[in-house]
Amino acid sequence: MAPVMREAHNIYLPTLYPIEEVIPETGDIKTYRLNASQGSFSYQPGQFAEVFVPGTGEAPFSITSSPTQEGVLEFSIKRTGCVTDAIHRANAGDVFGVRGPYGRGFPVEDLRGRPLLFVGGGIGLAPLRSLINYVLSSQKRKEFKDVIILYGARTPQDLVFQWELSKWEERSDLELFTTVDRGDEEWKGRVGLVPNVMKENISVDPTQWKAIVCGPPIMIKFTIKALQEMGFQPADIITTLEMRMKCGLGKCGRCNIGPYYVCKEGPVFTFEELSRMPEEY
Amino acid sequence: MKHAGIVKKSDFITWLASREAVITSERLIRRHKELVSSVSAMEVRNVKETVFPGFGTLFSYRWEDRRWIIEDIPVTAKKCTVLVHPCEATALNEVLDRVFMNGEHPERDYEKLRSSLELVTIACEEPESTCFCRMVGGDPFRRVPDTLFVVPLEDRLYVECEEPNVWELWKKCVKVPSEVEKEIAEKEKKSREALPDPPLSEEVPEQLYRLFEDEEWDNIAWKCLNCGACTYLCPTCYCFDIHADGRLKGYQLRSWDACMFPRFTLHASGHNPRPGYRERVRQRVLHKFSYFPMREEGRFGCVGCGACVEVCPVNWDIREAVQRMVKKSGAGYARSS
Repeated sequence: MAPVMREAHNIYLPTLYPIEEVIPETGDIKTYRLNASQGSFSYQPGQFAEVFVPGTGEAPFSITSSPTQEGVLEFSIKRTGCVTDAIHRANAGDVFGVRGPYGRGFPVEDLRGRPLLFVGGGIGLAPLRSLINYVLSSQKRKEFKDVIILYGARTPQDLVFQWELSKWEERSDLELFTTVDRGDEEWKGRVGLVPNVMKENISVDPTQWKAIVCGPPIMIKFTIKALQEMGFQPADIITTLEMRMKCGLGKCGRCNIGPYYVCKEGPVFTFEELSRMPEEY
Repeated sequence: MKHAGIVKKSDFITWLASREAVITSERLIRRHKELVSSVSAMEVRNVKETVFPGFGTLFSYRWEDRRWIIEDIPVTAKKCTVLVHPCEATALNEVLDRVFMNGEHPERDYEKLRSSLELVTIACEEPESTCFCRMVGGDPFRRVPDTLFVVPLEDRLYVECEEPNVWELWKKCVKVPSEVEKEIAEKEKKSREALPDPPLSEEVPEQLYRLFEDEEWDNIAWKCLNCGACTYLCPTCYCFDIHADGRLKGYQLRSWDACMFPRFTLHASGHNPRPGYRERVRQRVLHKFSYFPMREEGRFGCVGCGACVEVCPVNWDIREAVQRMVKKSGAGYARSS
């Protein structure tokens, strides 16, 4: 075992980073791009961080930027509570405190050399986006095979990263499917639930492909079921869990499921790992 | 290597009085008033307060000259001599140290407070009806590593340690007469016999884990009020909350929290993975008797001090809960030694 690095610093102390840009995504979701060029924040796709709003508090968020984007740290945040309310009041030029990265990210080594199917629902695209942009980056693209992205939201107004979806659409090295549960007059695209759209449109060799799924619990449940019907093995289905967390370091206790702390052994788990855990998430 | 000696009670008290600060637990004072009465000892209800205070600051922040400033507040630690029973020393040595000090992210302030403590373990000669240390791998006469082990006798004390050089008291110690050795062995035997519950077998964590979905949890949970009193008196419960206090100037605070409260796991979305009494009581039992030992080489997350049993307003008894589930699983007890 590698020797454990002794940390003489205060593990709860955040580093302040200025907000470079605020990108409105939907009625209640905004993406914050922080300038992290000062400091040494290095992370893996799928990891998360604790974001501190001075005067309000701290909450955990998945990092949506890719480690291949140097000096940048992005979080896409839905307004749902006290800390996220304060985050949504922040503008470019303000600062957030960040500590992390925490948790186990996506198993990049296991994914290398494999074709990848990304399935996202709603804001669940945020953690996937970190890995998608990592895989699509000019430095890494050749290390991975085919890429299919299936993304769905309740309505066209709930689709996040529309500014980036159009860029992905233009690329010839990936296939993008977008769908909404309910369309409107202007919506010309697909209408249908993610698992159904997947079964109808996507046909891949389940022994070769890896599926990475993230979204609301109900969507994850039915997507995993559909993937298994398509022949995917539980070890080839990867997802990320959401739990309430405070410390991010496996100490404060609230994200405990069985012998695991979601903030340490997760948030990324394969479906095989999940099916061996108590269903308490 | 074990070193044993005998010291006069007056010498022990003089040594204690010469220490920078003395801390002792409520239950120890109750039993050994004569040892600490002449020393100005600080009394703590729960020994974990010495290293993991119920309420503390993590850092400060303030808005100044149109910008935010965040400032670290390193803890100041004072050398302390702590008189405890073996169960309490075990809670520090084998449970809290694993969580806060030995992992991949050691807490600086915990380390600082912990390393400023010298632990004196006073043998537990009269286990109470609420005690069950032997059930979870402990012993009323357990020689807890890195501590000075003490058995009070009539007008002297029997002391034992691994490294005599670190204990100034050792200079006053003399060789143990054989009749005292015999007396200690008898006391030890008598005390052990007062704890009839045999040790839980090492299969218990895995076997309880398999009973996660068992309906027996409803019966176990129904009486519990979810008041959380047990968690605050428990020397091994370590869950906490973090809170920012102050708008333009304030502190990031930490306080004890507990799995007994519904908001502990409540998501911002309204979803709660542990919504009811059944789930929360099960979490308390399984975290100590299944999850923690599964992570930590079999070490139970409970030291059997019985503080939770003693304080519970409705007499909910964790021993009963564990025994009930163990019986269901058929895991049984280890052969008693």
